[in-house]
Amino acid sequence: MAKKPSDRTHRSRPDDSLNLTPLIDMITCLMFFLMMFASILPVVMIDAPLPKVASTAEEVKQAKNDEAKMEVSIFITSKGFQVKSDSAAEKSFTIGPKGYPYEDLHKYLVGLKTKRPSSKELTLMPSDDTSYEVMIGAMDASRELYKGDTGYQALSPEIANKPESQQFNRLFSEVSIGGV
Amino acid sequence: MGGGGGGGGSSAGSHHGGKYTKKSRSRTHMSTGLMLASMLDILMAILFFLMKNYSQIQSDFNIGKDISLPYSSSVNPPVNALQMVVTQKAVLVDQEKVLDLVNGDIAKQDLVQGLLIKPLALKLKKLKDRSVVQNDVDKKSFAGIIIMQADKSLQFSMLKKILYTAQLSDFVTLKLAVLKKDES
Repeated sequence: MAKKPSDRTHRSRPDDSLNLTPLIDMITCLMFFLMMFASILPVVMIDAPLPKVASTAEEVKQAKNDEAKMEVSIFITSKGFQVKSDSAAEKSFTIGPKGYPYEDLHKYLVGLKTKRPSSKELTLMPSDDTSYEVMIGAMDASRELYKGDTGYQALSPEIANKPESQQFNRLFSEVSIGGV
Repeated sequence: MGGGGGGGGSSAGSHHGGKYTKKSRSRTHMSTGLMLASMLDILMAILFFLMKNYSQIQSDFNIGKDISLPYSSSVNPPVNALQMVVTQKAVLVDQEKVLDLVNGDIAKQDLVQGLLIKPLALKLKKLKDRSVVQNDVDKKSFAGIIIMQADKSLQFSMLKKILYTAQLSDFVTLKLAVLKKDES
């Protein structure tokens, strides 16, 4: 039944809805900090062991045993790449309009690897005017198989782009810097 | 709530000949405040996305200032080891400047026999000795790991001297710090 206007209460009822403002404040602060740290670029590592001088008899013996393996060296000059190995003739790749021919180098190395699949080691021999960026590019081209290469294994999404993926699709996994 | 109040007001208005029309209008009036619930939903979605990304970032690795690292397809995570930063202006070891570069190269007075960098060799020797002393249990187990961050435009003629000095100072396990190439 409707009350008379005089009987009706004029007091405003308290707002029983949840006050979201402090929650939004908190989330905005969190977002700010997360976005600040998310701007840090992800850093990864490349193993590039320096050649060690064999000093002990055991090390010399080990070096002799290693002679049975294929020796591959990539000479990097201002003109391009030159690949030397003991199982194939010398091959040169000259710089094209797109810069250093990393793709061609990679395809050639895949061919070399199929000749001696047990080979893992490769030495980079950069010339003095070679930039660090080109060295890293050559290392990338030599280290692992790409999609579509002979022997490439498709990885499950759980291990793709993770350190565990490095057990698979290796080309020349031990790339060292020579000429030092 | 608003709907119920509105219904009552309209009936009262019809009974009293429009006397309470203003009051009933104010009762049926909807809140003009911001709809914070939907905004909260959006913010929560962004927050989850950022937190997911944050968990994948190895943020304890500091990239040196004035340096532009090259990109690589490597996926090796960073490790804790001695860090050497080579910019176009200076060489830093453990965030401490060891020597200045002159025109992107090592100054002649810092070199011994054209390749060995004296201040760097002294610094690395000091760090190696400290590391061996700290590792009392097995003094032969010096790992000799060094992480190098170098500017992508630096030339091998200069880097060669740094690598040679590191090699002679028994830091033979070199790791190169690079930026992860975006696969997408």
